[in-house]
Amino acid sequence: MRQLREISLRALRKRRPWRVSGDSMVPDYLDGDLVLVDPASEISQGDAVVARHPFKNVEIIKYVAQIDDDDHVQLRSPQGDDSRQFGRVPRHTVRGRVTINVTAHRAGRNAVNR
Amino acid sequence: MSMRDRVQAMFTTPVAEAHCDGPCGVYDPASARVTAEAVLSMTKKMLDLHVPEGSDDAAWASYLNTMSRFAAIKEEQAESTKHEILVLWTDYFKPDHLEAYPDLHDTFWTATKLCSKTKQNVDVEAANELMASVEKIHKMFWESKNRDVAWVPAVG
Repeated sequence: MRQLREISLRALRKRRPWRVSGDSMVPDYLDGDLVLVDPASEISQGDAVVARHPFKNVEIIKYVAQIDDDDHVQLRSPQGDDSRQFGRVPRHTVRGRVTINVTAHRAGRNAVNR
Repeated sequence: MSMRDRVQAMFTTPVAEAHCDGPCGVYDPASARVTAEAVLSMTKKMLDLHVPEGSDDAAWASYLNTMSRFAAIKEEQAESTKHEILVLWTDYFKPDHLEAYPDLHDTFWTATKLCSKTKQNVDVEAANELMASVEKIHKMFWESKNRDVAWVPAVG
């Protein structure tokens, strides 16, 4: 049901798709997974988000570890680089909250979609 | 990934990177310390080497050979120190670190300039200053990682 709802929202352009590349978010998000992102949603600690890298021209998928008072977000991932290496990112460079891992949902994987 | 995902991914979907960044952030100012020590050591050796008395060809050949080798090693190690320092500056340290270390850029700039100075000259003072700069970077680096790592030069 949830998948249907999300796909409908995608059709209504309320969700934007991203494809995961790499293994830093294993086990919740695997290389090649398709995720949907809500650009309008508030974000909170624990959410998976897509954000712009602070100094590379790429977009990254990470968890929100903390939102600081000065509107900067600390990102974490189980593997690989995160804010501990590349620093915090400004809140406005967060593209949105990941609402569903479509691939994991279809495959019946136990994806955590907070 | 299903065929549907694959097709969708190919045409419409931007990529969200979840990559490990290169060699997973393995940095250590120790490599700069070792090469800077070599620069200091070679500088001292060059100044300690005495010109042969008289005009014995073999003695002069040996002297010039040794002096050239010291100079070549000093040159190479200073260049290597500069490279190691630049890697820390450009790859490890991030804009955020400037808050904690407002003199970060100045420290690195001074350190790399000293690499050039020790290359061009036979200057013990500059070589000692280079060591002091690398020590400052060492402290900054480990402090930024919340680790207490002692500064231990190989040559006591």
